[in-house]
Amino acid sequence: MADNITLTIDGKMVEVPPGTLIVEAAQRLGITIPTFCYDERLRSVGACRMCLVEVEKMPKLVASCATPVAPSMVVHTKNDRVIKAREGVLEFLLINHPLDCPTCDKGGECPLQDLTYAHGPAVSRYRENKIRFIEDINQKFDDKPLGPEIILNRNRCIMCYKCVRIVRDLAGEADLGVFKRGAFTNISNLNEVAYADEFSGNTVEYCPVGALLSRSYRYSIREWLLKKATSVCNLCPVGCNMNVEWSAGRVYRHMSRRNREVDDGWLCDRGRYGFDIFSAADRLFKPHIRRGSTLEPCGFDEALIVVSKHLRKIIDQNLGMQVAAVGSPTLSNEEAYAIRHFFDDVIKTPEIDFQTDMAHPVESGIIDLVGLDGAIRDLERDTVFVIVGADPAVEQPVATLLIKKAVSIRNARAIFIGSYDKRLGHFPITNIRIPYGAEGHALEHISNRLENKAASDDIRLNEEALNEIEELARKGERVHIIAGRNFFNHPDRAGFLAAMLRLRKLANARLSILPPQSNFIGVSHFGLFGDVDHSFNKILERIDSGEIKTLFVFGSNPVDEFPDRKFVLDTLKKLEFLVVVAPFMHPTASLAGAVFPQAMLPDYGGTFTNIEGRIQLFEPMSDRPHVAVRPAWGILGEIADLINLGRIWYHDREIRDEIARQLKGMAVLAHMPSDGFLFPFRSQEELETRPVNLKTLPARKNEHSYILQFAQSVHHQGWLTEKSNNLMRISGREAILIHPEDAARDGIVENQAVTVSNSDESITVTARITTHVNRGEALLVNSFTGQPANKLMSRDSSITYVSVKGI
Amino acid sequence: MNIDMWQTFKSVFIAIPTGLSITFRYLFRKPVTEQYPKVRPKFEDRYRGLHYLTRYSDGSERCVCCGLCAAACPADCIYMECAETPSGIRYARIYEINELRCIFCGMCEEACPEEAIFLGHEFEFSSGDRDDFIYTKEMLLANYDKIEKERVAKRIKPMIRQERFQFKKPAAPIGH
Amino acid sequence: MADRETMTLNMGPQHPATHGVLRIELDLEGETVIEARPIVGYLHTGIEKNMEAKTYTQALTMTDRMDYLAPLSNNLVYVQAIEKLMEVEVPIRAEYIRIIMTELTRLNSHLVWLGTHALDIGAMSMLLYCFREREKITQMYEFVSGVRMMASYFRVGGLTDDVPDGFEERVKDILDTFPAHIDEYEGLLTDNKIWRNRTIGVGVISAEDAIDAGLSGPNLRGSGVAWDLRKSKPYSIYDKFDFIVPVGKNGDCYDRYLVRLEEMRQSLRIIRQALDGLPEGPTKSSDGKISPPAKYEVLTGMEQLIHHFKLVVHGFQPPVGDIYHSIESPKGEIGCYLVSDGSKKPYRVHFRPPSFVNISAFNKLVAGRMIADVIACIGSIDIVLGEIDR
Repeated sequence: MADNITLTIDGKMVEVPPGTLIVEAAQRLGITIPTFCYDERLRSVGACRMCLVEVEKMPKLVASCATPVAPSMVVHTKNDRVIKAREGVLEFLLINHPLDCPTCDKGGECPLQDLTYAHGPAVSRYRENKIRFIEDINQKFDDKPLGPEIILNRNRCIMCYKCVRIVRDLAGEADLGVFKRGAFTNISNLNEVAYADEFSGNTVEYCPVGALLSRSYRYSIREWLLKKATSVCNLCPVGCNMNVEWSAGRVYRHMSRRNREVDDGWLCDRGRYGFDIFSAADRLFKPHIRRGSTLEPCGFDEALIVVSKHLRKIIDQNLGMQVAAVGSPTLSNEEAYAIRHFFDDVIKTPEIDFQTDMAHPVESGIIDLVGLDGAIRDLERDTVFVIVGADPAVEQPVATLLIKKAVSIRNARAIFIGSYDKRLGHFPITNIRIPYGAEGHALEHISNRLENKAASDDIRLNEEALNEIEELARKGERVHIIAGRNFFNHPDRAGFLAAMLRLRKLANARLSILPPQSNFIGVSHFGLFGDVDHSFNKILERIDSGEIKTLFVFGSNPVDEFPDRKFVLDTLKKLEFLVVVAPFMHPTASLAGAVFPQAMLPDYGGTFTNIEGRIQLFEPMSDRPHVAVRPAWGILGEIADLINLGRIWYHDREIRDEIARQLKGMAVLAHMPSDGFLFPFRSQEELETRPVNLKTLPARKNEHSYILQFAQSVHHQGWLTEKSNNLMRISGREAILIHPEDAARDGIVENQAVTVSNSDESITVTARITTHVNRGEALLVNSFTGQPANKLMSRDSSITYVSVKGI
Repeated sequence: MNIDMWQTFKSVFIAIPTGLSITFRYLFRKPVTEQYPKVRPKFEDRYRGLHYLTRYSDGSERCVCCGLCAAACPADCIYMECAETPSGIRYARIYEINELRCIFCGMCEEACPEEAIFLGHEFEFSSGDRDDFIYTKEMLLANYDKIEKERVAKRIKPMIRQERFQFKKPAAPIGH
Repeated sequence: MADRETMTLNMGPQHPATHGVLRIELDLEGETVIEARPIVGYLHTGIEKNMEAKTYTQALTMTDRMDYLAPLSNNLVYVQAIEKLMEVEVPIRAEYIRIIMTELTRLNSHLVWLGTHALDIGAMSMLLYCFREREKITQMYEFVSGVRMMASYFRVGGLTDDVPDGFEERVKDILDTFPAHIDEYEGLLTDNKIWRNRTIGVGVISAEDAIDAGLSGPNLRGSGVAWDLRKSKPYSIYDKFDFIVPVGKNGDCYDRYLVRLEEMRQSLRIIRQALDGLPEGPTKSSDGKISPPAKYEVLTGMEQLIHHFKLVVHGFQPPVGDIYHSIESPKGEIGCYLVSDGSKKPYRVHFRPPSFVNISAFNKLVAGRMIADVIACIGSIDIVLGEIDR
């Protein structure tokens, strides 16, 4: 480590490490140098020249965002020469800038406006014609859609290359590029391919002018009319910090709120553009109760009275065991705690769970392992990623940025083991293709090599890749084993876990099991975890056998989620009373006896727990437009009031205070720090290696059967994101991916509509033919509730066999 | 004669006739009062009355819903919602002025970068219903059409000083 | 005289002679006033608080509504306070027009005062004559700013717009006709026995008491103290003009009346001098960061458009600091105390309204006098409730 460098900026001395840029050194002194193209997270290009400063003994002004400091440098950032240079730079930048401020969405929050007002000339001297990039000769404005969401106006561009760098360095894609030269330099997408990678929204947010715009925000509202609520994204478990910007009860956009520990200021498109779920047209705002065969809207009190009368009866007769409650991993920690408290202490029933999408729920030995090993920020220091049964780029996009950073900057290796190929932008990765369900076997291969044992010959793997992993692991590189969504619905979860634990020990690796849903760790640790005995599957069985007669559903949608649609539909119909708290009238809600509208972010406040165990606070909008919309604790609190127990909670803070008193180590919850608070949820004991007993691999039933697998896309995650028009515009249609050989045999061609069926049920989707999947396996991407895939599944077997036939 | 008596004398014999002569003089002068309902008062050019939204010569509205008038308004009486025409032009889907809140300060007029909103000379717009004072975009445009009709009939020069600066297309289009 | 007792009488807040919603609690002994307690607050509109929620330019419109009879004086003290804080150079033509307009405002205010004061005492026709002349001044307001009362004509760094063509002729017209009207008023009132009986020796306040009570403006000068901020602490360009500060002797209602009439004549003198010296030139500060560019430049120049946009949406941001500035309004010293936290909105604005201070000396004027004199005294101290309650 070289010694620090001392330099003088505006007469003040500062000591910084070598390699620091002048602009960063100035920042330490509290001197802000105006910049357009500089972003400390991106590589410097020195394109805009706005940051020119004078360095003594240098003949010309230098770009402070591209000049590293040198010993005893004397920098002036405010002298006449620099001020004049800034004026000149701005004058040049504005020469070809169109007079679009009144129509431009960026107006009011535009760095170009701000810096022109702060540093630029007040009067234009330019009287000639401006260069205009004409997209369509018949159109008045030159807006050009780059993709379904992003719109480009090249006239406004000041060539800071931020978007190109975000696409290239951050996302690792090659969608945007710079074309032509001189005054005609412009940004465009390559080969007219629609630009819609998972981080495209960041280019809009960080564009210093209105050149890149979002279709969802386009011409909607002015920035100064928006109010901001600090919030946390609820669509994946990374828990990116963001600002929800709203006005008059409508959410207009999500903007990043930089938390260096979590998201570092980036948001993925799912989190950014999923804001319109909140204001979807068919969102429920009124409670409904069943009168006869129909559900009718009613007042909030009316619905509360119906439910509380029923509960009063149950409590009086001491029949609490006949009641069950299921939550959802999207609920807040407070809601989870409130549900547990209410049903455990008031109703006195242990039947509480949240894993409504699993027929074989995660049991207690595993639930304590779910989460990231270490902090999110540590990801960028790992050198080998063994990503098995997971697609973090889809499931946890913003955390994946750090894997991408490690791969692109530190030359880390990312090795994906899975039954279909994944990608990590354009960054080099290795895909080890295995048959469906063979994750455990593949890991055992690696472990055996590390222990110099002979490999079993159950599957054949890419020897080259295995050698590479072996070599890297032996070299003592920092190995990180990451499992994800496929782990949770894996046919041989115990074997998979045991294999991972063995490899973890052998390679001295870190092991992370990343949950697919947002607050999985929070709800499981704050009260909703039911374990095997009280899992949702068991609850359903007890409903089936008549033991449970009343079910409360908070936030989840078992009919669309549970992997046996027929069973869950039949079972729920047997209930005496079903209460559903739902944001939409989804199929579960339409079976209910009483439906309460569910509060969504930012209707209410609370905390979420992300993959690293960081508990983060989100705030509600400061006025409440939807009066009947309550979070789970709000509804339960009022029910408690009506059954003469006294209202329990009025505010989420009360629940946090209670948790802080009750649970060990949670005292911080009473006074939440702004950047969240990290709680070690993961149990170290469970990391002990356990014996590996792998099940035999599932085989094809017959030549025409396929093993059905599921994959999400970045923009679509289930019945909730389906309500977002923005995300639906970006995400592709549902498709089934099959191998060319299978397709040839079954006579299926690309883009053909096919029926995917088991013995009883079928759905219709589009076929895509690709070698990215194995023979005999079919991958259903982007499943929509219109064609529910859980029709095809059965809770008895964890493997779904289907046949695919062209129509 | 003491001072008191002199004062009395002065006020009775001099001051009162002087005062009366002033008032009497007005008997023979033209009254200055305006016969308002019968005779419409004449306003100065800068008079600020009811708002109107202008149009381009081709009849399309000038307002692009930039929101500057609403931002400038000290009384917060302008509400607008934006939308896009099929040809990509930004326009105000909803543009409402609450004339009851309005203080006629003219800051909207000053703020408008498109010369779209002006305050005209109309001042007689009373009503018995509060809702009638929410002037929608159509009403504001109709105000303009009325003024424009009158202007053309009286052959007065238009108030708008300059057409919006349009970029001239360069000799060879750049890009696609 | 066995059962002498005091009676407490409420005068106002709805009383035609209290010039607004002023309430006066009078302790009476028979017809004699023992004590008078003015009670204010019935017209509280939260102007100062409201200004904190508006940008500096928007908040200007609130100042008009304090002393609604002298809106431009209020405008002037507010914009000059900001200009002092931001050290803005105001073009000389703008200063001249500001002086012409504020002196017209003084005429306006005094005319309303004279009309209503005389009406209170019983001279009905004065009101009609005064409002006739006032009409010309409100016409001038409309002519330059577009509105007859709440002109909001001044802006930080100058004026909203230059005066229209024909301004000078119209001001000259006022200058030519006005002195004759003042003579008329004098003819009707000055020697009138009823007027003299109702005002001479009524509402006397000595110079010491007036200073102690913090009186300012004609009320102070009526007691013989020659204190006029235009002369004592010249602001704007008042030091360039030749005028005298009229003072009274006795400090009674009659002297205050004479002082105000003479002030009107002096105002006309100032206007005449300003009109003669009215220079050509810009009427807005040349600093584009404070005063928005002309509209046609906004439509053609990118820099101007950006500055216009930023000034409308975010406004200018004065440096962190506070400032007190005071000017001579028609009613006395109006002061503006302004605290800036460096944002686009004032952190705090406080006004020192002359009427508020002047009404506080009310008890001194009427204690021991007859109840009928209360009316004359309220009228003669010239209050505007909009300014008192803010």
